[in-house]
Amino acid sequence: MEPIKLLQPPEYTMDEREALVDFVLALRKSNIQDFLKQAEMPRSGTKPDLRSRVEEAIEEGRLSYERLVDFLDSVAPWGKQHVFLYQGPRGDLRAWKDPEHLLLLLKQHRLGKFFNARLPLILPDTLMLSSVTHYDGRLCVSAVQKREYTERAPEHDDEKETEDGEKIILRAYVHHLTRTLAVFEWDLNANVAMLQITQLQREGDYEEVAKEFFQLVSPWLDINQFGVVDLRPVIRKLHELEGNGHAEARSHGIHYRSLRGRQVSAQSPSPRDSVLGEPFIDNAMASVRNNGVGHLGNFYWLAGINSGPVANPLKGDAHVIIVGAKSRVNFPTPNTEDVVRYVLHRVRTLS
Amino acid sequence: MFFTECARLAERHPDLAVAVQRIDAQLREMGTAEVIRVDDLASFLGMDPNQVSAVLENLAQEGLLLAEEMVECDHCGMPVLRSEYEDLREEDGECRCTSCDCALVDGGTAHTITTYRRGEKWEIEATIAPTPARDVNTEPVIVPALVLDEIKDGETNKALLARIVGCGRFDGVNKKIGSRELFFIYLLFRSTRFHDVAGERMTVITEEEAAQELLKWRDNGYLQFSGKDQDRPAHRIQKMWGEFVRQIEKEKNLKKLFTNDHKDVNGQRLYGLRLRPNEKQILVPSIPALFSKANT
Repeated sequence: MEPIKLLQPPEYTMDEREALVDFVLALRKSNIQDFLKQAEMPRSGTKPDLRSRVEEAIEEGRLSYERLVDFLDSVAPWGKQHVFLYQGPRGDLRAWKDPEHLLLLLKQHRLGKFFNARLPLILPDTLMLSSVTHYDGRLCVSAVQKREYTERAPEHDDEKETEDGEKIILRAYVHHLTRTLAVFEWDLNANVAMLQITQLQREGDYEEVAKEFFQLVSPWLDINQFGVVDLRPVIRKLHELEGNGHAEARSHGIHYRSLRGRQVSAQSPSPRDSVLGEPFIDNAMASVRNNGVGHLGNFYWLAGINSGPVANPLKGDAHVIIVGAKSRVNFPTPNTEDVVRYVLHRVRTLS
Repeated sequence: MFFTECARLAERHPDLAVAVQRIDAQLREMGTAEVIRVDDLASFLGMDPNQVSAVLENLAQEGLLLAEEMVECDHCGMPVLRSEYEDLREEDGECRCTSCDCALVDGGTAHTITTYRRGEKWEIEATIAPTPARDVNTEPVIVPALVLDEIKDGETNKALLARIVGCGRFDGVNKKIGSRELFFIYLLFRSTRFHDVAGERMTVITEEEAAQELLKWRDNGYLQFSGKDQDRPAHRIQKMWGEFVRQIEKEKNLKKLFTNDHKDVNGQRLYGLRLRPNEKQILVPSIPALFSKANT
């Protein structure tokens, strides 16, 4: 496989540069240490130590911002994220399987420079294309966008009085600046696809990001050819398997909606325990399952359980939330690529 | 008292004896414990939370319970172990609630509580086995020893509906079974209930569960029985079990694998398979599908 060409980056603003270091330092310590190893820098110390080391290397010109962006883009798709799964189009895919066809298509839309290349963007104001690759039968499209939001911080609330003695109540919000990476991957051999979106703020609108992404690529890639995979049956299936003693995932929370609109949910007593375990609740939930639709499933995918032809690579349980009503899968904690791919493969199989 | 730890505690603290007795009965009724909160238990039993707290604390010191320091989300009440909370804060810079996704800040959006889990001295009696968090470094992957599978060679008929296939120490087992054997095998293979005897864990079903299922099988036309047993399905189960064991033990590798020698904490007879719940597997699509296939 040819290395991906790194395109000339735009001029980064000071804010972007500072934010980039924050983004990298917000990754898991093990990820940062991997990066330091690649950059042939010492790996030991606390996170503040690692930050000083990275900042020092940038100042001395031993480390470029482009390299940091490249590293961030390689790690982010396996971090905290939400994923939409799709079935590929039914038509003939031969043209799509040909890299030359894709290059020509991109050139027609003045996007030829992105072919098997990456533009190291940090925080573009609007969603911008950063890369289109075609390797090993996989078409992969990435885009990046800056996002800002505020989060309520009651611990910083305050009160004071005006000169007239009127009470002023100050409500505090913390300002957050984040980088959203959206990656669409189409496996042209299996003819299945997924859109990964790095975790937004709480209650962030992933459907809106997906819409923006598909608008961005719509001139040359039509998402309407793809069918969204219905994930609601997966919640039922995982619950049923666990009840039958063949658990593939440990339930932490299960939420069903009946066909007449009533909603029932059950939570486990802690993340280490299953929803199942008390017969009167198990029986009630089994009844709800048989008469309802999976709305939300909060699971821990289990290590060491092989449920199909693909070997389970999990070294520990992976937290996976299936948002059945929105047909997306949430990984609320960072994972490795093999874990994310395995879980998504199993979710697809169970759908 | 059911638990010796409770009996000892009541002896040491006579003024707590009534509280201990009620908690002892409640713990016995529950069968196991994952996250017991003092306030909830006190409210449920209509008792003074201070007394409940004192009893649970003492039982934790005795090893019957395990006290755990948890950080509980103020928004939804989901707790996480303090050690995991600290690890995540160190590793990721934040810890979010596993249930509602709120950022947990102890003293801000979360608070510390102590909860109680089953301790090492609480011997598990028959209960439903929840799916535990598994440590892959210490716990081996369990390969099913026996599998309930379809008959693949075209010999399915009303007399022979499915087969038991062995793996590992049961290699070579390929026992075809009829509806009576299928009834017990299916129930035992499906069960996650277990019973520990002298260090051995076996999968069990209670007589009541078996009797209820028998009525369903009768209603579905899978098994027939009549006469006095109509009103006494448990009695019918006892009679069927003897015949079931006789038939199944015709396969020499399955001898002494099935037992009804044990009872649960309530004195109810247990029907057991001397395999752990995760050592058997069901591969047949469903019971209705098996009977439907046999009738075609």
